[in-house]
Amino acid sequence: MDISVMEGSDNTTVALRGRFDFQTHLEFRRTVEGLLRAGHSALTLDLSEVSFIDSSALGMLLLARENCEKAGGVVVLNRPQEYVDKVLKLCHFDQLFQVLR
Amino acid sequence: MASMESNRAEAPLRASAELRFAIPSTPVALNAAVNMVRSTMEWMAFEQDWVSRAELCLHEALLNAHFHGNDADAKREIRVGCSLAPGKVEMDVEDEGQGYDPRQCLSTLRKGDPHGRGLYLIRRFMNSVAIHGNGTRVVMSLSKE
Repeated sequence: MDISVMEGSDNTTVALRGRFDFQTHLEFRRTVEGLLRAGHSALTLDLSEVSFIDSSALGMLLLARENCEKAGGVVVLNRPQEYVDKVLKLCHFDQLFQVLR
Repeated sequence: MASMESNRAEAPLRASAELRFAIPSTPVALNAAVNMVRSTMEWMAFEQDWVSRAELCLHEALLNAHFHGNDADAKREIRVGCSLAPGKVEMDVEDEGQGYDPRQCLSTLRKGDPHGRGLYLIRRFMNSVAIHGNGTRVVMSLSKE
């Protein structure tokens, strides 16, 4: 998976591209930890280019949300593709995150 | 020529396929197995919804087998079987672990818990799921009826 970051003053966008799964764990965690250390705790995760998401990735999203909230921020999920959105809804992530469609 | 193209788009290329193989318990082999099943389903012209469901559920079953069953030990194997036919998909995944008590497995979600969604997703996306061998083998299926 490719991860790119666009830092802003109020909100930082993390764009994910490809398969978001168990093999992405380290890269995603390091990205979020780096942003938190730099003081960016309001994150928008752009999921528009994510073609696949698994249970490990769902766990990573929850941990990111927990850590950002501890730092006074928030995680917003932006534009998930249809099937990814279906998985998010099945797991009630639309009740845990703000999901922009 | 136009009618040949149209027939090809409407009808599956083959009536059925049986895949049965064993892979080493590694992430690379796990991904290759999922890709092979997905490619076969696409080649057989399964509807995209079924391809996506099967892809996710096989992936999740293999993750469980690799990490929980085989303790991520590359010397162990995972046996995979897929029976694909129009209107019916059956997949089974068996690891070499010690098994577990299926009654301990979550069928519902703890909302904020980062773990425990693999089997939940399988149960939601498949029409039937059976756990055998004290938890070392999962058999799951999609069917039209």
